[in-house]
Amino acid sequence: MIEDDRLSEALRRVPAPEHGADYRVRREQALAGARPTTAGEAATQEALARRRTVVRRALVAAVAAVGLVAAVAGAVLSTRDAVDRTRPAALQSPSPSTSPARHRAIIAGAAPTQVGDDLTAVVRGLDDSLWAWGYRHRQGGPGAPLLERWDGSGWQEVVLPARRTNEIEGVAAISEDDVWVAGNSRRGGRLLHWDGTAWSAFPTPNEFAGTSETSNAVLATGPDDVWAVAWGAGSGMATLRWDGRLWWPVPAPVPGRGGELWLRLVRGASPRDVWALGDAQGYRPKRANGEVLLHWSGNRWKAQAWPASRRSSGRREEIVLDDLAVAGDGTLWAAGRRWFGPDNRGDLFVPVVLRLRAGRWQIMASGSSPSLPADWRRFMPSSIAATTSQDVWVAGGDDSGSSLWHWDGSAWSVVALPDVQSPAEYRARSVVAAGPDDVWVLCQGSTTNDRLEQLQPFFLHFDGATWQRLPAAPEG
Amino acid sequence: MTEDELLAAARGGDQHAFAELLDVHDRPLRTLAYRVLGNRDDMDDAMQEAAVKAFVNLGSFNGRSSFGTWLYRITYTTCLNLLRARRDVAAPVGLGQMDQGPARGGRSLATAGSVHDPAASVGERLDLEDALRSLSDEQRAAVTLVLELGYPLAEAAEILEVPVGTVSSRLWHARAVLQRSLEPPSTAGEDHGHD
Repeated sequence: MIEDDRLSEALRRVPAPEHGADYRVRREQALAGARPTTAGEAATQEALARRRTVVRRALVAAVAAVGLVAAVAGAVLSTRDAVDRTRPAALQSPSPSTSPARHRAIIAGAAPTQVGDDLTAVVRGLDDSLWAWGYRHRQGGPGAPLLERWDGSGWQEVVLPARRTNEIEGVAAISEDDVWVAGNSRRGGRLLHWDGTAWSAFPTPNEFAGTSETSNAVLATGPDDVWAVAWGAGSGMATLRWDGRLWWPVPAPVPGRGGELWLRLVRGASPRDVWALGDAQGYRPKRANGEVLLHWSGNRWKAQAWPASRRSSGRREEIVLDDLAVAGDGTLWAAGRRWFGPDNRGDLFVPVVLRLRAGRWQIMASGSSPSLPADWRRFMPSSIAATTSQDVWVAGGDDSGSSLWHWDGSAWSVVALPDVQSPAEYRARSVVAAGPDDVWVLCQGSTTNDRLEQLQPFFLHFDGATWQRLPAAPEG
Repeated sequence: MTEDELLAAARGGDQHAFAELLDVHDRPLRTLAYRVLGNRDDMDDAMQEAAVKAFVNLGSFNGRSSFGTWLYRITYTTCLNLLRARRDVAAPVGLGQMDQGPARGGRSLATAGSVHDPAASVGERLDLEDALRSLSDEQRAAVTLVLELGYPLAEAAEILEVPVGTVSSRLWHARAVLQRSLEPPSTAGEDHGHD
């Protein structure tokens, strides 16, 4: 990507320093006291390590068996945990939660400068439940993925199965006892399912994700119609569909030879209207690569024409979409950035909101929108929600703070978010709406003390007249 | 001598051959260690420790990955272990502690650029420096390997011991932060209005 080239160039301008004057002398002395193991010694050590692993696994299994006895009474294990190996064409059924996972916290040691909860996004379930997810940074140790649910009066943390996922990438809720979580583990993508009693983990095998084995986002339009999309899938196998019983790979159109699809977002309103957003990389011919928008109309994925990039009088313009929303009338809304290329002298993003109706893209917010503020260009959208084409919300912000744009069908208005005394700084990250009088905004606040950033997420709810601030779930 | 010949000699205990091998890969190793650790002294400590680990464990290098990939993986793991050990005994690393290059004889992210690019904007470098510091160790490593050193995603994933998708995910998050740091402070785009 062109933006990557800019970043690479900028990074290379600040190279690592040369070694200290005594580095090579110290290294020589250290190496002089060492001796390489032979291949035979290494093999012996490996065998010993394997034996230790077998003993450890036996212990883990024994402990798990004890736990299982206790758990049976509480019906902890889902009956879906039985593996259906007789269906090679379909994806694997969920694996039982007894596998002695090699727990290597991918994110262990991350966030040296941050502690606290880092909520990424909020979604509304089909049953109007609200879910938010992110990551909990801990001081002096590995953090953990974080899932929260609105119970009608407050946000509560939802306990995830231990060691089943290191990161959450998406959540789709059908009902209280039918929730899907897309995540990543060291072994690849994971789809976790809550059936009201227990969590089950579904691996995403090679057939699905090709090189990455990673599920990245999940969407449900009904209990028997759930979608997950993947990063880095070769052969166009970048999407998975749950039919109520099994996950099936669904091929997506590829723009050329070789290459991979990197789908990062899936949105939809019905089983016949699902959108997947991502980009194509490594395809031949080269011009086949770039941003990709796919539409599922009920029987196959089809590539949707990208909002046109234009090249005129030496100027190039590209559009990058950051979020999508499908309104109740089936209209697709998108928020993103328009990038004016290097031949425009002065690389620049400006925000853009688009609408796709009857196959035609329309720019809905730009400098010619009279109701937008004069400094509209500084606004960077982070999330979009649309209940109808007369009720569209865009959350975002600039250096001076966060705001919401609202489209009522004829004009934009800027909705000021309330002042919050603590934390002093916050960003509107994600917005969901059920109507003009029921809007939720996930805000990530932070306070820096002694150079350590304390993250403090919270929610704002708009009832059409006033804002109410609601705290995120307390740490359990 | 070729890399294979150096490797054979090193396996036989020739520390000078091994040092030569390390020097072949020195620049990318240095870049990775520096980006993860943030200062030159720690970079040197980690690289020395990784060098000894690699030398001692040469017998376990089976050639399934390239020697460079194997070496980067050991260096990266050593860097993370060093960070964790330090965090266990000291206060968490604060924003201002990441780079102490000039005071300790090295060049900081903020000043290093001036050697190579006198025209580069100081503001941009500082923004980029801040943005890099705000990333997690893992995100910085992914950015360094893929965007700065140009490794393919698959190789970066092998070095970082995570799936390719995870590298991409880290890059995706990091990219947004870094790009913001490169955006010009004032904007002057062209509007096209409604279609």
